[in-house]
Amino acid sequence: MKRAASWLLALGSVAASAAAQDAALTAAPTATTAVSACVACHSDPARVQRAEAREPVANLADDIHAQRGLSCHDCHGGRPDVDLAAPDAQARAHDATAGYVGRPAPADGPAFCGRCHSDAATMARFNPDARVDQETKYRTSVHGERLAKGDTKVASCISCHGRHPGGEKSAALAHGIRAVGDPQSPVHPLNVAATCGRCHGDAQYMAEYGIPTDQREEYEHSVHRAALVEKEDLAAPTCNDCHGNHGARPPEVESMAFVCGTCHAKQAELFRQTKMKPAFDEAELGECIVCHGNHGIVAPSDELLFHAPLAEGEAQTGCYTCHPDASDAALAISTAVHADLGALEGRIAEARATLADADAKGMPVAEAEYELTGATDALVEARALVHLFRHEPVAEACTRGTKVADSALAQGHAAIEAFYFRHRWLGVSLLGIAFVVLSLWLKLRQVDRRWRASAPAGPAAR
Amino acid sequence: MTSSSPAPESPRSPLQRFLDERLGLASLRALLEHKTVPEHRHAFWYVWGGMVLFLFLVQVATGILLLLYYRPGAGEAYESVQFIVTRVRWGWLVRSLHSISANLLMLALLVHLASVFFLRAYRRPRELTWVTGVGLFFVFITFGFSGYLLPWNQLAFFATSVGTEVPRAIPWVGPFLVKLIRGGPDVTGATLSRFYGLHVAILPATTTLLLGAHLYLVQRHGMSVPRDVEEKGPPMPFYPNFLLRDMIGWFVALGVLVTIIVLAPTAPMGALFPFDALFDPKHLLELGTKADPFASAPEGIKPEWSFLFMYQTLKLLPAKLAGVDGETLGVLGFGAGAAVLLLVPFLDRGASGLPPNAFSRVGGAVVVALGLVLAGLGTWSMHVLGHPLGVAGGLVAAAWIVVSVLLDGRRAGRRAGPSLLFPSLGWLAVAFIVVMTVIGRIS
Amino acid sequence: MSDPEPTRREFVDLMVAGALGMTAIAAIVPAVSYLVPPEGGEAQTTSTVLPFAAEELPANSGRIFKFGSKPALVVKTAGGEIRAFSAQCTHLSCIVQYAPAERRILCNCHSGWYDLTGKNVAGPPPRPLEAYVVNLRRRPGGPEHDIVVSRA
Repeated sequence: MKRAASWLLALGSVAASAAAQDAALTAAPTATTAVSACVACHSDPARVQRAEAREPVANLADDIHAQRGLSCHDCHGGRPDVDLAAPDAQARAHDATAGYVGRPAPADGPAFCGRCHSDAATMARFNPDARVDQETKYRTSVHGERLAKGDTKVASCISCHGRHPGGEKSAALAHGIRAVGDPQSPVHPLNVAATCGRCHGDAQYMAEYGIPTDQREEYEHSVHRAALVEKEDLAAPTCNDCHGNHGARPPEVESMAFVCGTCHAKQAELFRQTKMKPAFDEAELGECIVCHGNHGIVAPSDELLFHAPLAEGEAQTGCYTCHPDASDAALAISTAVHADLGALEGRIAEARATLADADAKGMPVAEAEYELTGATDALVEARALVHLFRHEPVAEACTRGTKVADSALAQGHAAIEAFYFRHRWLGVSLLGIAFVVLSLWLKLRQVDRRWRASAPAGPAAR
Repeated sequence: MTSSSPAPESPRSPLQRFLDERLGLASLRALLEHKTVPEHRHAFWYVWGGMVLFLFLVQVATGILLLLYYRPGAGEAYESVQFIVTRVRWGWLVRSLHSISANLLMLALLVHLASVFFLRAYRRPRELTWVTGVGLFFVFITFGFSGYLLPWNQLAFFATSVGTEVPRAIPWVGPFLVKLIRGGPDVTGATLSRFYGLHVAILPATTTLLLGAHLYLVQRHGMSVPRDVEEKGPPMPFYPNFLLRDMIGWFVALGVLVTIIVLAPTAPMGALFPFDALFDPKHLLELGTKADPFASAPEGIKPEWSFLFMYQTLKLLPAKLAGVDGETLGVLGFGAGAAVLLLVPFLDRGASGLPPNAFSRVGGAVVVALGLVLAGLGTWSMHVLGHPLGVAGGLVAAAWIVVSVLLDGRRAGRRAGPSLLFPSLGWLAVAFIVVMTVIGRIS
Repeated sequence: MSDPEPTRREFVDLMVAGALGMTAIAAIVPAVSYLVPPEGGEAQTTSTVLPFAAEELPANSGRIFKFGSKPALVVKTAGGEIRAFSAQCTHLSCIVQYAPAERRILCNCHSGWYDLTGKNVAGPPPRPLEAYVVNLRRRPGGPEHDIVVSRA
């Protein structure tokens, strides 16, 4: 009863103590080396029996705020310097008139954090370069809009930045928040997908929202995830790179090319030049994701292009979605592009195999192998040019690539020919040497015979 | 061709007369016509000296051709060799000949050395022939070591780093010697310059002198016939009988050379030819990657086969043996071995039928002591390292030395005859080198 | 003892002469062929002199040149300093170019950007471009300088 009353009191004085709070915050941060009363009391099982009330102190060491010199009262208000021996220590410490706000309601979470994180002057004390728009952006996000309407299921600050010591499904804890760059932080690039997936991958939790819950699973199979986790390329995209982190929303249909284009600039630029862009936007098709998918994006293959004739059981691909008529001129373009790319790829493979063969035979091919990369360059370029949806640019790039591949192939053949030449040379030389040895031997026999016939018998004195 | 039996001078052309009058070719012709080669059951070994000479001439010719395209210098050496092998017409052949022939040359050299040693051809009056010969042996080892670095690839670079580290163990002058050899504290472009100068100028000049002396002495004293060996008839004329035999040998060697060159880069080589067990033709011919001093040494780096026994010995010696640095003992041991090799004719006076003198007594005692110490140290180090087979080998070696000395002692009482000590030591050395090389190869 | 038939002796002599002559030709012809310099000039080295003078390169521009057997990019900054890099993009090895407007190096394939120290600053490239050492050498008898690029 007494506890419930003090909680109500705390909650009730949030607005009244806001000013006092600000004053407390703008004062110089107290050092945590001098153990505050908050910490002393909340780490003592004799005084604070509930484990969850002791938990914040237990995890202060990992917390980025504590590491920066902030302590309990800097966020929660109250008095850190009460004498714990006094009988009214708790009331004095948890005094709303001293700015005590206690534990904020979920809906007030963003504002609670935003008191510092949205204030440029405050943040400049710790990190002059820190952004201060997180709260603003959050309120524009789907999460922020829903939270404002009273939906407490949505994510707010500590849902992503906090800890989940009880595992993925447990409630978030706000103490022990790690810096974003800390690999153990839930919002480190390597962990973002798992963090978002905690809610968005839970079909039961998301049932009322009517949006898919397979994004994380799809992403796990994607080439972006592979780049992030296996190649350790932290620039590879995860959820927030396309959806935004604080202002998280799914991108608009006509923004898709711009979103993908933040990295894949070339392809996006080419796409934007074509007639396809306005056609897609009008049909409310999401541009890039129509052919490439959104979450489970895999490395594209030439098979994305429609090509006739299709093998038995082969699926009809992206182009067919809008061009179902087999006699459509567009499909002819797609087929021609597919053929060109396939031909160049085959040529490069042939050249590479020939050079490998020559190499296995011990012939030097380093320079030809190097030159062949020019053909691969052209192939990469040709594949990017696919996004112009015309045959000519692709054909031109493929022609260039084929020339280089042909040259490398010729060098490979020359190397192999040289190899066989050397073997033939060996054969001829050995024949020649055999002939020389034979004639020398015949002469030797002759000469020996004559000598033995004419020489005196007996060993010579030596 | 005219008859080769000694005969009145055959009619000569005006050109021959012209040259003869100015150059005095008459004496050369006389030598050629009178030089003979004895015939006996060990006469086969006489061809090996000529074989060494032939292979050396191959090296000179191919070396000169390579010199016209090779560029010394860390920035250019590797690329210039790559250029020779890929772009210059027949460049692959010239370079491969030079590389493989170097190894065959070493083999022929060892056969020549061993045959001269065991047949005791170094006995009086041929002591200086032997000394110049051993000098040439050291010169050719240096040729091989310096030439190996010239392509400036990873293998050569690290093998040279490992190899030039060895003299450091020599007391007092070791570190200075290493710096002198390397042209600096580490193997760098300065080392390359130095080795290049050695390989194309200093060593060829030295060889000219030593080889000239060696060949002159050989002609002067003629072929040595081992004592107690029956000659099978009159000695054979060098020209044309023995020369034809020599030439057949040379062309057979040429055949072996070109076969290795063409077949080595592909797999069958190792299966067919035992050469792969001894030296690795594929590695000799592959250029590999350019030397990068900052890259870590390739795994299992070791010197090429002719230095392998030294490397392996040093590897097997424990760090400290009887309080002395193991490596120092090893290096000093090799040094002592080289000194003994040089002085063999003066130590083995019995071979010349001479009674021992102060030098040979002291020297002989030193050699025996050295042999026993080395065998003992070897046994002890094998014991320390836990190689029972090595311990057994060391004990056998020590026993063999003792037995030889005892037998010599008994025979000395009866007549001054060739000692058994030197052939025994020779066989021990051969066994040691072969075993160490094989271990080095397979480990 | 009679001599062997003179004809047989002459035949063997001819054989030997022919064999040795053949050997001589088999050695001399390749040797002479070896001596004739191959087309394509001299050995590729890791140091290249560019085919144009330092003064010919305009400020704030770049040009591709062949370094060894690989493409390289030489850039003259707006301030007149000359720098050289490997022109192979560290992403998928496309050839990069200098973008004067942005004063950075661009890889057109997937819009990778590098700054003028070669460091990858935007887009997919995972590593910086390899930087080469540039030296200027006065051309004999003229005010112009050769650009000599070598590996660091």
